[in-house]
Amino acid sequence: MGIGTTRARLTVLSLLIGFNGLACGSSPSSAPLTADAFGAQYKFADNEISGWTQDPSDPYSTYTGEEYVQKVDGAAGAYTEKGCRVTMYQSLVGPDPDLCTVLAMDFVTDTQANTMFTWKKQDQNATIVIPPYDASVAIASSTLTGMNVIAHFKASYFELALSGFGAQTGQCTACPVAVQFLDMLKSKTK
Amino acid sequence: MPANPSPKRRDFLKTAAAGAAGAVGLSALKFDKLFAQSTGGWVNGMPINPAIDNKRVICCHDTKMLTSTPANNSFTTTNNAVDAAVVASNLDEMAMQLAQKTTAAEAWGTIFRSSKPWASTRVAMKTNGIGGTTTNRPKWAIYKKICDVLVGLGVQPANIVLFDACDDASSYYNPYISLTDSTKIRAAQTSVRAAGMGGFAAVTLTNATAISIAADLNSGAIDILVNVAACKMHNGTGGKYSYGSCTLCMKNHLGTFTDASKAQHSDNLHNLQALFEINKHPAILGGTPVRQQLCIVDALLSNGASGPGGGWDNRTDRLVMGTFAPIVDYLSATNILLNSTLMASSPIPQAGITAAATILPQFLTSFGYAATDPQWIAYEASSPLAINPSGTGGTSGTGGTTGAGGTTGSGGTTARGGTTGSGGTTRTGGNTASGGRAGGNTASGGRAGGNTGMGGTSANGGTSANGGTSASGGSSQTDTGGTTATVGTTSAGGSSSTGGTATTTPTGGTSASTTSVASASGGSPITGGTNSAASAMGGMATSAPSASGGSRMTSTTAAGGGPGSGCSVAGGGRPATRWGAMLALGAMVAEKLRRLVGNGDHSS
Repeated sequence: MGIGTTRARLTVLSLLIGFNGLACGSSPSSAPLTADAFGAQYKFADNEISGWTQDPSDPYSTYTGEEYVQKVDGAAGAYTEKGCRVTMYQSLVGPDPDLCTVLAMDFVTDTQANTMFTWKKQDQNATIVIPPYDASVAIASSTLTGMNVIAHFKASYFELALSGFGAQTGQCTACPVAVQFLDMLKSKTK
Repeated sequence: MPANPSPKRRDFLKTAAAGAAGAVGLSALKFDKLFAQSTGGWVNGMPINPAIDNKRVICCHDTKMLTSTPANNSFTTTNNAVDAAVVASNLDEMAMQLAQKTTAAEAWGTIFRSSKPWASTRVAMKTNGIGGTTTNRPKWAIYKKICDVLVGLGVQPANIVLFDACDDASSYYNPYISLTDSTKIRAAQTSVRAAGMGGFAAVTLTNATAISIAADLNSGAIDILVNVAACKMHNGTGGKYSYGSCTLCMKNHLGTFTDASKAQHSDNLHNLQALFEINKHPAILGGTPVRQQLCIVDALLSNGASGPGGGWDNRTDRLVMGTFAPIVDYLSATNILLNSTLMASSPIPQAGITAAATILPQFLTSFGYAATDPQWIAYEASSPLAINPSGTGGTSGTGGTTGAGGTTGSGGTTARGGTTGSGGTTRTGGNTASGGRAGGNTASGGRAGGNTGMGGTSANGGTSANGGTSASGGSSQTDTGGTTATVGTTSAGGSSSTGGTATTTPTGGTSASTTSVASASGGSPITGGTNSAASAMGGMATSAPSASGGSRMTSTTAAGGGPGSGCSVAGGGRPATRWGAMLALGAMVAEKLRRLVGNGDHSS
């Protein structure tokens, strides 16, 4: 076996590792994804959820580590100090007047993602359960126009801001939409 | 267009000097120094606007400012729900309440000042470009109204610019901006970060490193800074709620100042001391007149649980206005953001409430104020509070916008007792009392009026102040007006005034003799009684009509002590200073001297 063959195998191996990393995304054992690769993993294509498309006035974006500061300024610290490594931000427009902003964050380990979720759940006093998801996995708090959802799957942590649904004081009218997004995010998390 | 209206201050000083300083031999020059505005940033006690008390904050509640609850959080949907005409009308009324002027034109002319002709005056309006389309940010209707006011004064639309030097806000506001279309915000296109503000300039701060600022603010090329902030919770670095749990006018300047090395970052500024430092900086509070002249919190919609980058989650239907950001923020946070009733649909997290209890008071103490200082003046748009016409401290006891305590007589010719004014029956004189203050905390004239003294916290014209219901001299009076001057419940040493039917014997005043005073609020002539009260200042007087401000005794003069002392000098809400005390004391001494040499006519 020549050197060239060895190199070729190493190259293939590297590609496989890289590809595996891309596929696994948030697996703690894989090579860390770039912000762009992580974002691509979770980005919603137009009508991937029927009726929901990219908001043309609010560009899709990704951030590395504390660069998320660019999006939310001082509020980024709440995430980066708990281990957020990269962030994807996407704003989607649904059936009028529904809107959904999606934050997907790589916390590197399941534990850190869970820590983020637990802190946020307690901080926001989130109590709206979104069946079939258990409250330890996804939960929401009402706003005047909808609800803010937090969730975590493996090492990834998510926030959805759903508006256009009215306050969720009685029946959770936003829950079915939240479930659609959560199901998709879960399926994107390898 | 008139140029700079700031000479009003000088006129006032001239009047004050004529009325009192002349008597005590202080020069007008000293008064100029006394009231000169800083060009070097914040100094404790400094008036942002000599005609408006730093501590005065107006809050208007009106559910009609939104035609309906916006269906979603988008910037467009939210702004479409705003009734710009109602917002404009409310801002006019708020300006009148803030400046205590009976017309909007007068009020705005009092609030906005420039050392340049209006046509060459440059104005920057801080906005906020953080987050995305669903982030809560100030409504366009507010900027439109302020621009209309400025253009009405003579400012050129091309000389007005909205900016956020940290996060580009142009995509949000530019659709609402035009140099010529009067249905839009008449201003230049929104600055892309600092590009429209002369670029960035490095600044050295004690509490943050590697910081830049919009250059035209730092150089003073911008004459007027208007700070408009959305009403939002802030969870601070690491979720520690380390900025008082809010992002309002002060925090809005993380975006006037930014990190020098990284675009769209203000990480280095995210600590409480840096927040205070930049809000004392000459770029913000320097200039003559002071650059940041108006602070508005847009609380039509507020963020409770959602952080600074989030969408609004509560409908609070309020606008807040003041001249001094730390107090505007303190009061907005305590009365709106931390109000669980108003923020019921999505309240601030408990950790934020807990942190605010210790951090918010620092908004005051770091600028030399105490928790008892701020004045939250809230009203329903349908029933605005009375505004005192100027100059009437006298007979009617209103204290007047300007009146009271004046140089001459009741109510004062010139005013200034003003906004606060002494004399008022109650509030009319104003809550705060300028004249009062002036006479001041320290001053004799001042002390005389009011429970706490003119000058005192509540001051002349204040609820209980001179002329006030319970009158000057107040119960605890101890001051020059007489250690005792007081007469308690009613009248007071207060010269005269107040009303009272009352009265117990003034305890204390030198000559305090009387009893049964008639009333007179506002320093109006004492109507009643020959014996009327002793006066405050020392309890000298007697049966004379007195003026508001209080104390005074002899006929023609006013309150606050010696002729025109205290009040007139002090003026509208200006914080008391030892100079004011000296002045008032001087006036009192002069008065006593006059009496000794037979110069004083103490009859009415």
